[in-house]
Amino acid sequence: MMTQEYRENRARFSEAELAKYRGQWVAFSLDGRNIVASSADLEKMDELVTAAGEDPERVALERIDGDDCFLGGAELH
Amino acid sequence: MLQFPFQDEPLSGPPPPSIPAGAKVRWRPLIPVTIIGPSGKLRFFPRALLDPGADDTVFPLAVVGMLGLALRPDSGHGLRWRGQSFSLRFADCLLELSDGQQIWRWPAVVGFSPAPIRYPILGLAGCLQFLDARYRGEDRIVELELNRSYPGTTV
Repeated sequence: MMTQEYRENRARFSEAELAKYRGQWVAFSLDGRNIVASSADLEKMDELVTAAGEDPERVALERIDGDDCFLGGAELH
Repeated sequence: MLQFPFQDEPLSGPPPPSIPAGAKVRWRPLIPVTIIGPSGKLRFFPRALLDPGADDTVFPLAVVGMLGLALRPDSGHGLRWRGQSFSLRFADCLLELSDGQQIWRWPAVVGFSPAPIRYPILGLAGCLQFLDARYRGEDRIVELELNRSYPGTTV
């Protein structure tokens, strides 16, 4: 479940800060305050999150990208 | 009913002419979803695209291993993502939506692909087929209600 706290804290990450993770998956803490781990390969995320001392079931997974236009399912054919 | 506010993504350059000059973000109907495997393992994606233009619900293939999902036999289906071909395999899992007060959880046949899609896609099969969705563009809110075909539980 995404809390208001997550939304507010996640929104505090600046575009410049997130740009460092472009093309990667990022695991945010559930309160949205911290980036727990990041990887271009989602398969490695569990290992990285666990190594950071967190539970992979207790993070929020987002892929950071820089596309200004996203056409959703229309891009799938 | 579940209500989810649209979520914003920052623009990396100047806004296109289709949105107001000076806009710094794009607003998209992105909603939080939890995907759950047969043993109860779960992963949380706070930004999944609720897309009635998508035939299927699609998650990254890596989720299969994370949740211990059993892929159905290869049906030969695939998808093209930005000009490149990728496989599309299917597995049975549970999907969960929650606004913090209600929890909807239902069984779904979901597609999994190695395509580097930005967001999990909640399409018609597996998701929107069970829901009635109202996109309130001005308010940047999507409202969801269960329809008669909904196969899951509500708490």
